[in-house]
Amino acid sequence: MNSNLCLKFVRKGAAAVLAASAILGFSAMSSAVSAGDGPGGFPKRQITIIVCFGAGGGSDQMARAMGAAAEKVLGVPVVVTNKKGAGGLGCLPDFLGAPADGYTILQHTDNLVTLYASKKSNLNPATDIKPLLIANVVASQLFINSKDKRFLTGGKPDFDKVLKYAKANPGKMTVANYGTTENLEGVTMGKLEKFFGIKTKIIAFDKPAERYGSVIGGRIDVLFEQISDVRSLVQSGDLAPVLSIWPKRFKVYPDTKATGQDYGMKWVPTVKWRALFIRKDTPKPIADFLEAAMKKAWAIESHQAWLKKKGMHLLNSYRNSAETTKIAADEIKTYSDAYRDLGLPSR
Amino acid sequence: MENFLLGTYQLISDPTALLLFASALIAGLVFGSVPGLSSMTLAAIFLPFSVFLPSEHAILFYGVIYVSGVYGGATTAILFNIPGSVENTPTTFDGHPMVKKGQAGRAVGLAITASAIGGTISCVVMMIGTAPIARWAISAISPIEKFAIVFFALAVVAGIGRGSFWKRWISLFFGLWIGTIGTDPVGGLGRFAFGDYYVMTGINFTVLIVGFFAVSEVFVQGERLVRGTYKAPRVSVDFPRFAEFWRLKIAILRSSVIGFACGVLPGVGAALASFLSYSEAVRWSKHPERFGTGEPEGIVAAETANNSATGGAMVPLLALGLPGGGFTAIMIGVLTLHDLTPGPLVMIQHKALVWVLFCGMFWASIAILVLGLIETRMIVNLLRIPFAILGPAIIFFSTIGAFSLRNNILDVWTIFVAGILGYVLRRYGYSLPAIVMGVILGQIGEEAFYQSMVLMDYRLLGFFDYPTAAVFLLLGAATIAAHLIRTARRSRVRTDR
Repeated sequence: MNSNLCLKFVRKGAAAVLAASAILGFSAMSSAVSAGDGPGGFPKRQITIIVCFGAGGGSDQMARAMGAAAEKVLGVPVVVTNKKGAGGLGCLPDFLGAPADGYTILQHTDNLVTLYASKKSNLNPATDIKPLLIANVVASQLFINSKDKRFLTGGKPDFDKVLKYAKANPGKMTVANYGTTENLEGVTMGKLEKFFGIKTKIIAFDKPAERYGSVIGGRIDVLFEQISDVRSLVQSGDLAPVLSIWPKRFKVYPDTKATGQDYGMKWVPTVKWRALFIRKDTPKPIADFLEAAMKKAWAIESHQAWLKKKGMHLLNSYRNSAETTKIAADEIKTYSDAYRDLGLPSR
Repeated sequence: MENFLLGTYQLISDPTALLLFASALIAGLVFGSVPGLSSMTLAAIFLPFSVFLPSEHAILFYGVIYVSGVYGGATTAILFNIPGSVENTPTTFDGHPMVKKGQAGRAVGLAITASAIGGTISCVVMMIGTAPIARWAISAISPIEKFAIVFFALAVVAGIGRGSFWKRWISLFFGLWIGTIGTDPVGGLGRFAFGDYYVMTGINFTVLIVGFFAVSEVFVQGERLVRGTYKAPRVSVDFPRFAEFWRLKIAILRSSVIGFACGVLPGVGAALASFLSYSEAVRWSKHPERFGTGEPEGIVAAETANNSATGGAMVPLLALGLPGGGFTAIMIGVLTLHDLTPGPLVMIQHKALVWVLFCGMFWASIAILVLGLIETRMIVNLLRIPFAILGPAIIFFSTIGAFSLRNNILDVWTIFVAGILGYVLRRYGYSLPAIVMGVILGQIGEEAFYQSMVLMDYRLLGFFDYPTAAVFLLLGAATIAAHLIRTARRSRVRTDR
């Protein structure tokens, strides 16, 4: 009786899987716009995007959103493979070892710049690989626990109070951060400290959840984070933005003071960006075709809706291949200078 | 109660949900029960497909395989001495000796029932207390307390298992060293990586378990086969009696509490739960000397606790988005892939989803009891498979399982190196569970220690300014002292003789 029951389940399951794959196959075919329209009939088979970070994180989400959009443009399946580890370096041997035929795409971030500028990697993102596009650009904010009375005025977060506290307790105010000194977060925090004349204690948390939990739990004073990453915790009333690290206040956070508009900070802050790359020696016609296809994919309605939902429409998020290369080259210089000032290894 | 009924109704009234529930239950049992594979493998393989499911179905699937996989890992631990995942390791201490005594059915039966009881109790606590417990946990546990808990856990792990006290400590330190291979958690510098990007990704402990236990076990048994000393284990299906559980009621209750409490702690989770629960069972027992030789209470302590930890782990996961271990980290991934950010909002905005998950896990725990008893009759027959077939199959599954976790070729090399190393270390009486726990605790502890040092301005004694941290550090020190005294006494008795 049991084996019969099992068989029934198996049959039902198999039927469901068949039905699902039929539906998926059909939708992929019906949405195929230009399968094999590229040079030499490219693309003929599935394309893989290697993500250097774990499933569910910002990079993974970006790759999946772009992958889904690109499927519609390219007419072939676009598969995402996560190869996390070593701060985003663990994926590189597989990417660099794959043929330069446009079928293997690398998803990476401004981490490639900081890793290269700090001599932790030898891969220069401006010269050694070819970008297709930057798909996300995100600014950062400082956040506080929304119930932390020390930093509230009339129930609203007040950066002046944060400053006052930091000045009264030099080196005591704790800031939860992704890294200590060598990445975007660390360098930006260093600039803020210098400008405001404060000294904070930066605690590096590798895992995002621990970073947020430490501030919500009241064990750390301030959180440094990209706007889009903690939007839901702001909406739930657990965290409150207290400073926008941007020249102007953001429309969605009109009450949150900005470094430029409210404090006269002139520095143009570096931003978090997420990009797609191919190997540098990919044949030019295929590289050009892929760049155009990704531009089209980025602009389609469903992808734009996704960007908006994630709060990644606040800044202009699209950069083409040449612009991305220039951004990477400029940032390598900016970060190298910053590291040199800090007495750290630099290019 | 209303939520529970509603969640259960949603589960049984939706044929797709019911089908997924059943397939997750069976898949978790199967993956957990195949040596070399684990529920983690299934979780990683299924991740890309979960995108195509509605969010409540996807999370239900993962909740159920989490529960059934932890149980499934117990069967291989008992039958083949190969724990499915680290939290099943203490189950091998008494489970496998029982198989050698010809009590395979009884041992697996004990594990199933203990798992079901632990799982059910923790589900009930989880349903009642998720939100308030999670709030308390994040305000109570900072890196300072976390480091103290890791220290305590190291002391506990060093105290139990086979081999001598000193060899366990050496094993533990060896594990701590392996944990440093890769990229350091503070400055992002490569350590013992020789500039190789693969090695910089570090040694994954799940992979290490596969190498140490599954692959090296194949070598051990293979050697016996070649030498002609291989003895096929005896198959039996005599189940434990109710009276046996009634006798162990206090142990079950204690293990449930320990399991849930450890599950709540971010990062340490189920692994600490089963080790601590086993060590407490030894401490409170009137016959501590029986542990390690096939004592039923050893299985019950470990399995009740690790299943109880699954419910505990849901608390910080759902309420705050804090994963307690590898599996729960994948669940965070599942939620985010469906545009849901785990955290206080999920509990409010997606109440239906949360309750489908709660109910799925609750009924999975109950179902394990029924299904597990049926399955045991089949699964003990795995022992009848000739080793010449089973051995290569284990290597085959281990290779696939290792690669699929991170799509990293280093992991495939790791299982074979660890397999050979494990074979040698076992022969000389070193403790493989202690090495694995050293890797896990070292990786968590190092980051916590660094963060604590910055927070406390690099004052080593600063830990004692925090009461919870002080308590755990003292408990750890007391545990080490107690083991030292016991070891000294034993060696004196030996010399007196």
